[in-house]
Amino acid sequence: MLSVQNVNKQFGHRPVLRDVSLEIKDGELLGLVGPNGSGKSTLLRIVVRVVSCDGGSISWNGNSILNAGADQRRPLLYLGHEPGFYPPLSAAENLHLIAKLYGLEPSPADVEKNLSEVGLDPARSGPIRQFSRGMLQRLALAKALTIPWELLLLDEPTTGLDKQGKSMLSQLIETWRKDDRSLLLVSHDEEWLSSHCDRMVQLSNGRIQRSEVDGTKSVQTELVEEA
Amino acid sequence: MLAVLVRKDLLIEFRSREILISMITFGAAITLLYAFSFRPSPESMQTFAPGLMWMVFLFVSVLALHRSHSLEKEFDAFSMILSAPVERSVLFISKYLSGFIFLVVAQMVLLPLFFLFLQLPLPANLAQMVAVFLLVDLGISAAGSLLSGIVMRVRVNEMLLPLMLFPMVTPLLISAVKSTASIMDNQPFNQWKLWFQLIVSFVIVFSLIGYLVYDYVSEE
Repeated sequence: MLSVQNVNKQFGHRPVLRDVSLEIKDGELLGLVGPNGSGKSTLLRIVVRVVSCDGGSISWNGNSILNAGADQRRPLLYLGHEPGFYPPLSAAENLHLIAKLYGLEPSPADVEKNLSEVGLDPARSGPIRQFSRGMLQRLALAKALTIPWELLLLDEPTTGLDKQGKSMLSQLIETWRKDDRSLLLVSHDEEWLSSHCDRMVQLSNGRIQRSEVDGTKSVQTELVEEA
Repeated sequence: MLAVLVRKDLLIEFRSREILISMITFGAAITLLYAFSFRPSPESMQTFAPGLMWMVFLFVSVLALHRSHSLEKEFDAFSMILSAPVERSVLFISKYLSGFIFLVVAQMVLLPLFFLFLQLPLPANLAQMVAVFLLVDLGISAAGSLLSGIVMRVRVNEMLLPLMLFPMVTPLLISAVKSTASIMDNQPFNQWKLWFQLIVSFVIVFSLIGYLVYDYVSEE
């Protein structure tokens, strides 16, 4: 279980997150919505320690992530808004390298299989600098198939994806749901998010505004805090 | 993990050939400029040469140090590495070592050119010369990798890096120039031991600082 308690963050004098608290239970799919600049991406980046936080605590299964060793980040996989790859390398080389960073040694056949599964041509050996935004997004999803994770943090995963890509992403999310894996999804597309997530949380001006429970698609809104 | 990260930097350079080519082209251009601008006697050239030589290598090193971190920013691969289970101190050492390797490779090409075009005699004690060069390269790479990590998220980082690096490595460069001049003058080690000790101290201090603080400076 991921527990975020009273997290605060300021960039200069501008507060980005103010006393944000949320929990993601095992096997839960949580959606984070909110307007531009509301702090959604910053929160994700704080959870994986790309961005430091000014106060609060974050733990995974009771173990603190902040100020802990790198091994505490192993169960978490972050797919950011930017692709997070090396442009001069090929798709397979990028996947192989990232797997090695997680202490894995995937066979070329495994890498090829994962690339094919997201609709990328495994035989394509050119640098990913030539990839379109949608292809990079597919490659990011191949990363989620290559690395074993317990909590996947996805920031705007539909960006650049065509209709087929979106449908492939939906299928992957449903597979992960069946496998009882936890996901934290960030998107502007509230409709798309609500169709996949068990629960939705809205951030506005760095505060959690409301938490919605979407059980059998009949939305029950619970007011957590007013601005 | 360290080997994976260093191999990654080398593979990226092997594919893109951006760092070494720019370092060697720039270094060769300055060397040629020196060679055709100055016409002093061989004795006075030997006096100026160590200073000119280290000026070239300092300018050239900035290219490598800046590029090694800016490449991480291009598709935000740096966030991917920071979020991976990789100790940041190991990440610093990998940047430090790859910067050192790029500098050594560039020097292997530029030093013969420097001696050739400035018509300098080869020093009698080559082993001492190599030891001083390797240590100074480690020092430049340690301080530069740390600063490059600090300024990489700033918008004008390409301007900020040399502005912060040059004053920081001034003691190292003075020691490098004095040591190189002494070696080229065939002076006994005892006479320039102090400068050599300064270089060693600089390398130890900046390697340790980088190792200890990179975790904090790498986060936004």
